[in-house]
Amino acid sequence: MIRILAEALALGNGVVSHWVSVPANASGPLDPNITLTQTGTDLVNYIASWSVHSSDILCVILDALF
Amino acid sequence: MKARRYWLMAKRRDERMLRGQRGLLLLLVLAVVCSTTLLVSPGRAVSAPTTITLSGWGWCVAYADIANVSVVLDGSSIPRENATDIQDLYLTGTLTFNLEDRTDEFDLELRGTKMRSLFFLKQVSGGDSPIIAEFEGTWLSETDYVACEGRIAVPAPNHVAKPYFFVLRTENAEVPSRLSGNWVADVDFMIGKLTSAADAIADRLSTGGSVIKENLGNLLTQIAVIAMEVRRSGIPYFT
Repeated sequence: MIRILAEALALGNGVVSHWVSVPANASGPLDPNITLTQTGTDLVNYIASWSVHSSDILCVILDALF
Repeated sequence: MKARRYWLMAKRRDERMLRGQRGLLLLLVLAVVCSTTLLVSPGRAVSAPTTITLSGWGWCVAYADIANVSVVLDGSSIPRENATDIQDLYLTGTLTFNLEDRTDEFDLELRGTKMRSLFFLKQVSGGDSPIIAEFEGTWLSETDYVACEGRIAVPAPNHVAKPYFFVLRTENAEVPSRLSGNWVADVDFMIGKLTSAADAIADRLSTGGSVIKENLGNLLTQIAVIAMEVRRSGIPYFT
């Protein structure tokens, strides 16, 4: 089980490391030297776009209902 | 005429004695009522001294690594008058958040409630720059096994707060076995079984130690960075 968990975490790290560039000596998430990669920036923009569209849809539904 | 006067005097004397006896009786009744309502505490059960020692893992957004966390809490639990399976808790102690290169300590003064197998503890103190601490979890009374997750938020420059997250459990207590009960109608049975499963997983995680901690710390750090960037973009639902 530990092996599966360790592998799952390693897989997660591998995926997320495509989005975030963390220097070896980074102190933590607030470290200014940590940057997003181009793929990571695209992901953030995708989430932003999805959020804006979702809010538009929700507004239309609520305006229609009330 | 003389006999009537004697009769009247005797009657007055009897009335005076009767009045005196009534007054005495009234004083006696008042004394009994006062002693039962005012002098004795109002049916509150006696508080029991309580000590729990918790240890586990913690993570803070200011650091990349997973830390070892320990806390010893001393205080008391007071059963409620008409519901003895509900107890009010008052616990104080120091939480130690220990990384390789630094140690953060927090003095806690927690108040909360334990209801059968579940409990919560909370602290909000410090006025303009408060420390907020919250813990929720299971407390199995048979062996005093406690497992919980918790958070502490401390004020930080340029940020609203610096949050710490914890997963803790008692060190030397066994999860009591749940042999009777079922998954349909018995909530305590469900809580006991789930706690037992979580404890087994925690045992295995702690044997996996450094590899799991390192991977988990890296993953949380990267997820936090993405979450911060998403929030920074000022979009709906995330800001």
